[in-house]
Amino acid sequence: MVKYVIKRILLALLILFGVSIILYVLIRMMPNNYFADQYKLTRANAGIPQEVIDAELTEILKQYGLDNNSFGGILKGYFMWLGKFLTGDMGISFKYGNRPVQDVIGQYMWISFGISFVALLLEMVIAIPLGIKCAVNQYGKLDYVATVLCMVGIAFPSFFLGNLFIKWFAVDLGWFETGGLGNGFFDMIWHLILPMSVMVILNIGGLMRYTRTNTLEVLNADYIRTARAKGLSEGKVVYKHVFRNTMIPLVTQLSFTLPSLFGGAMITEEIFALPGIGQIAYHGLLEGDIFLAMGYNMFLAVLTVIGVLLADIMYAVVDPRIKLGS
Amino acid sequence: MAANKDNKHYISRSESRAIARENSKAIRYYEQRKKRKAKPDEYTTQMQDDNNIVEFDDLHTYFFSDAGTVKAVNGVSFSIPAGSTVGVVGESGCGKSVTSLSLMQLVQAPSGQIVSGSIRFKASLFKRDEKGKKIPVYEMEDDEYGKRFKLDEKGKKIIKKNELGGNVYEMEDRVVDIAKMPTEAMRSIRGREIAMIFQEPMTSLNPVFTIGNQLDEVGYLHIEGISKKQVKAHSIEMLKMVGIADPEGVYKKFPHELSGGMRQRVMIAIALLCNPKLIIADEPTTALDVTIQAQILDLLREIKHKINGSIMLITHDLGVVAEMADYVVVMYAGKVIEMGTAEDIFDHPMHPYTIGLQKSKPTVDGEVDKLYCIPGFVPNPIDMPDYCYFRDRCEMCKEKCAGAYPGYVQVSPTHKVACYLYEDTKEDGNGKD
Repeated sequence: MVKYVIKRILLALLILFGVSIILYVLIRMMPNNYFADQYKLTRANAGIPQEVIDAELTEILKQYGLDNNSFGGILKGYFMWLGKFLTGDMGISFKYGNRPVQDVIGQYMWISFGISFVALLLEMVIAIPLGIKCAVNQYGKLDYVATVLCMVGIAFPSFFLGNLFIKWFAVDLGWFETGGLGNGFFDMIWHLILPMSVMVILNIGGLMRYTRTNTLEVLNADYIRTARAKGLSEGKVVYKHVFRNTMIPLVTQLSFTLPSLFGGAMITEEIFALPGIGQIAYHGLLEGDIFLAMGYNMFLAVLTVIGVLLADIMYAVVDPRIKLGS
Repeated sequence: MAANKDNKHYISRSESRAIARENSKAIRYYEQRKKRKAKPDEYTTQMQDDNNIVEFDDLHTYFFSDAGTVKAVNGVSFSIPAGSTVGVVGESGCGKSVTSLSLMQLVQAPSGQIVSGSIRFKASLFKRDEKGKKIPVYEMEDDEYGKRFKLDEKGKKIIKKNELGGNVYEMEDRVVDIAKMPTEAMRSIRGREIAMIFQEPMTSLNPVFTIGNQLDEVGYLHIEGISKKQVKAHSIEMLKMVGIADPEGVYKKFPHELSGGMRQRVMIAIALLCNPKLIIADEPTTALDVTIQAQILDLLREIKHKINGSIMLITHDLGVVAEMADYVVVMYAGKVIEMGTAEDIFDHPMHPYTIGLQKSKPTVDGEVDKLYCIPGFVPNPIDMPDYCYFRDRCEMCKEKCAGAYPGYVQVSPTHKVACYLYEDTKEDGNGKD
């Protein structure tokens, strides 16, 4: 097990190396650079001639390895970035107060995590029991109603549902706030009700359908008939014998949500003006904050790799038939 | 389209809708009937013959499928005498498994439902007070005033314990009709009075729980008041009884760590845990190789003596039946076509189907170029003909066979057959449909 995990981590490092190259090249190919654009603007406003600005800029950009956009230049810049990254320095976010990227991510990540975590908990608490209930009463009234509602939820794009909710509940009815985080704990909860319901409604459908399908599959298994033949009550059959087997694919599925848990919900955060990591990264990317975009994407890559590894480990934890590494 | 209409299996959209409507109506009715709350008197009946432990009487179990109603069990009547082994034989899909699952109320719901008929079972149930609670038996002691309840330090009455460490409750013998029982009441019979061993040992045990967990579960469920230690000891005792060499080790293992034969032994151990009166073995050896088959059959026979119960053995292997069974029931297309003692069926088979089955058995003595097989196919279960189901495949078919489905002919006190060939040999007028 330990050997397997170490092997997987080494493999993950290799993957991350490849991902970082691709990311760096792609980000360097973006047409805009926040620092260069701002620098040019402020210096030009100060009345400094264009040639001088250009010369200054090249000199400054050289320090960050951003001056040369030829293939060799990008490669050189990449290794400069990599060298710093390995020492834990992810560069400077020019847009967010010239602070180190890791500080920016660290600051805004927890807001996103808080929102996503509570939303995920709500999703699980609603979707998993509902999925099991629907499977047990397959083609019953509840099953049909839940299926239709889930399909509606899956079909809505987040920007549409988010704006709809703002229009209905915040603007027309005035029950909730249109966006922001507010001041104080209870005010924050007040502000978060709408974005969280949007996230829950959008994701609940998939999880519920997944639970339902898995439960149905398990319900038809021979060992469930054995459990019934023992004389166990239907509740015991469902919540002991069926549930443990339904959990196997479900736990794996949930491990994959790790990146979205920390990575933020870009569109929902943008619509509700929540200063989460998703929104920060979105604006950074739009305006060409190179190191922030790079840092954020690497952060997501690391989370994804950890999520996949976690899924594999969880698989072995919940299913005794699976032994890792053999 | 025209070609489609000639096809018997073609169902038009309106027909299909009508079937779906009928099905959901029927399923709702039968599901509600199983979920209803019923007083024990509602499903209490009388045995026809007191020597029997189970009597199937004109049992109909249908599957409401999208293509129409499949009459998997279509008027089955036979009985299982106490202390005997009854073999049910027939080819795949003849309804023998569904008959046994009906006895456990385990037919795949919601599409499969017991529609009519009765399954009488001589059960010993817990006696219940007005509130539906079990009545415990208390420890008594004698003193100078006569018999009194024995009390513990706190002054509470002590419930009597049986040899396993479980509470003793007052029991009553009651003949119940399983076909009319609600599932809730059925639960105290499943696993305690009737236990079942399934065909597929590889998939019949839950892969995520240890063997011990799956055994203990039955103990906790049916032996109330038993302690953790006693349950474990009893489970290990059962594993030992079914011939598992390292019961403590197997107790801690997961099903995937055992072989098929071992898993079937574990299944038998689970079945034996509460000393059932009847064990249903639904093709217990089909999935096992021949040497393990023989061991499992030996084990079943041995166990029957130990628990002094009956076995309902379902198989399509005539060799197994010949070896094990006291009585044999031959089924074809959801009906019993012949039944009698093992001797009747094997030495004097009457029904052309039984004769055909015997002939198609490979033999060691004598050389044959080609194994005999019964010509033709089993009729489509959705629309059965109204004449003898075997007529189209029968080599001894008579003119009369075009008429209604034949009634039973009692050819000897123990031997019954449903065929027009033997009408003249009728001993008494007992032949009924």
